[in-house]
Amino acid sequence: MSTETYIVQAQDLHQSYGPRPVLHGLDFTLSPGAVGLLGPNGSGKTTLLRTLLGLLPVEPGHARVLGHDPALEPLRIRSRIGLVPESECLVPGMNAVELTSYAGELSGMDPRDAMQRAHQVLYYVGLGEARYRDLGSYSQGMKQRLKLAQALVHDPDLLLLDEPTSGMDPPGREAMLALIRELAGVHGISVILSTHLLADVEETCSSVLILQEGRLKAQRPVLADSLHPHLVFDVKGRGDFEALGGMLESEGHHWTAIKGGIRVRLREDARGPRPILEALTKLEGRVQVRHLVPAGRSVEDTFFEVVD
Amino acid sequence: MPIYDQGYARWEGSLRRRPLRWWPIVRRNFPAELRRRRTLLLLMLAWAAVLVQGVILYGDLRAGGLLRSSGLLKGGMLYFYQAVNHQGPFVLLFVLLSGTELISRDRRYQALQIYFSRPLTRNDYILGKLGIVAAFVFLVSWLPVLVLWLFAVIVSTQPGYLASVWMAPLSLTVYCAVWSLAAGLLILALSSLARRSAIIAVSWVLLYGLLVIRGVTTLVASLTHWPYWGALDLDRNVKQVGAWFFGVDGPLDYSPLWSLVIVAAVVVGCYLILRRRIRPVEVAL
Repeated sequence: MSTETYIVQAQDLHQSYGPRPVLHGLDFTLSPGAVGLLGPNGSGKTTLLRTLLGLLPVEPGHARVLGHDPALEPLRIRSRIGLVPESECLVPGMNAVELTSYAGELSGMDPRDAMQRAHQVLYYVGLGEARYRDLGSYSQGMKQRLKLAQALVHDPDLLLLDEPTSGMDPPGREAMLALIRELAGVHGISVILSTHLLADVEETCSSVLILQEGRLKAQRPVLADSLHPHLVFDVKGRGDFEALGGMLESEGHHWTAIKGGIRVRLREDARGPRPILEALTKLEGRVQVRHLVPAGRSVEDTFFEVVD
Repeated sequence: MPIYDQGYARWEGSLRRRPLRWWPIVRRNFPAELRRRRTLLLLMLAWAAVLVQGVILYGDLRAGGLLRSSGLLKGGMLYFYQAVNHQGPFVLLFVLLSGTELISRDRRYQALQIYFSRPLTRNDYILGKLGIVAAFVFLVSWLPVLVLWLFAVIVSTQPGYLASVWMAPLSLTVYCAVWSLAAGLLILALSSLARRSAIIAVSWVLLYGLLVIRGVTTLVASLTHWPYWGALDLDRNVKQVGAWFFGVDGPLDYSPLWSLVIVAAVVVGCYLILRRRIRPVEVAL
């Protein structure tokens, strides 16, 4: 189990493919646990994972992964990391047991340990009965599980998951997310989950990094504002919401416009939405409310706020 | 299918930091190829060919060197040089069978990520793949001829026989190493450049200097009386280098040093191609 304070530290991290810059001066630190890496296609998520693995030279900038510099000690880092790549990756001619134990041996495991461990992790990901089957007959979901098994075989301290639920049906996706939650929550394996599925991050991660066009747009806990559900409310419907906002503001509350209504942050002494209801009464029907709910800012809210 | 067939358990062992990181690639892939029926069949044929040579040698040694004195059989180091060259067709077949898809298949199935997300460098990967080809080259040339040499030394009753061939194992080893390096790196470089096996195999046969190339270079060299056309025939340059190690005359009419330079240039060129083509991250710019 990793004992580092931070699993990843990045300072002014840049990356480029030839003349094309991909990452622009990223600064962040990640604590142990499950971290979501969100961003639209082409935002640099996969490139960041490759950089952390030491597959791409850091230029310029500085990073430390599990206490090691990817530029100087890439092999040491890779021996402590498990990667679930986005694309399908199979070693032809091998079944699941052979592939997983082969991955263990390549990581430096003794052949006997690697074989024993391959059986264990294949059972763990739910491929125990199918472990000798021809990989050509595997469904997409089974291939995703196999990728997780080969990443777990050497018992890494950090798992890098690149779109791990891609192409999976809903039950398979739920099962995969449950595995990720358990690995991070119970077994102490830190996880960086790169995905464009916001729900996957909300279900598994404690914090999230949001990238856009290679720039860090936000880093926050997944459950940020939902700790104050009695203070922040979304009010949506039809009518004069500016008047409602103005009336609340005159009483010391704050408001911002959102799509279809306003978001109100009440004074600290407020308990529940009573001030909003009183303001609505005073407006005498100028606002028709169809939606009044506590507004914990979801990952989705943050994502759409920060991503253009 | 239930997902929790068994809970996760942390692994208590420790990873080894070994200098031969490429070894698992050979250890896992060589036996897998060896188990194929066509491979076993060819292997039996290759060893049968050496067995025939052994029977002839035995007969000659028991007959007091009758075949050698009549010129039908070469003696001393030349005998073992020719014995290993007789295995040439098998070596070439095994290089083709084992090497054609070694890298192209990994690239086709995107398996490079499996390797490079582990503590492996590009050199480890190349060495591992080369090791598979080299294992076959040694299995059909070095090992049987070494057994033949041992057999000859044991059954020979002639005084001074061992003294005349004592260098053969060393020469054989270096020759087979050069052979593996040249033929193996060439097929790996081609395997990294193309994806279709047929194209890789045909290119290798042409570039290694067999068939058409050999005919053309031999013809042009004799017509122009300029032996250096042989530089285009990699196979004969490898054999020329081998002859040098065995201390016998080679197939080309120029210095074995030139052949060594040519072979070295091919090896370096192939290695550079491999370094360029095998990348942990492939990006279309």
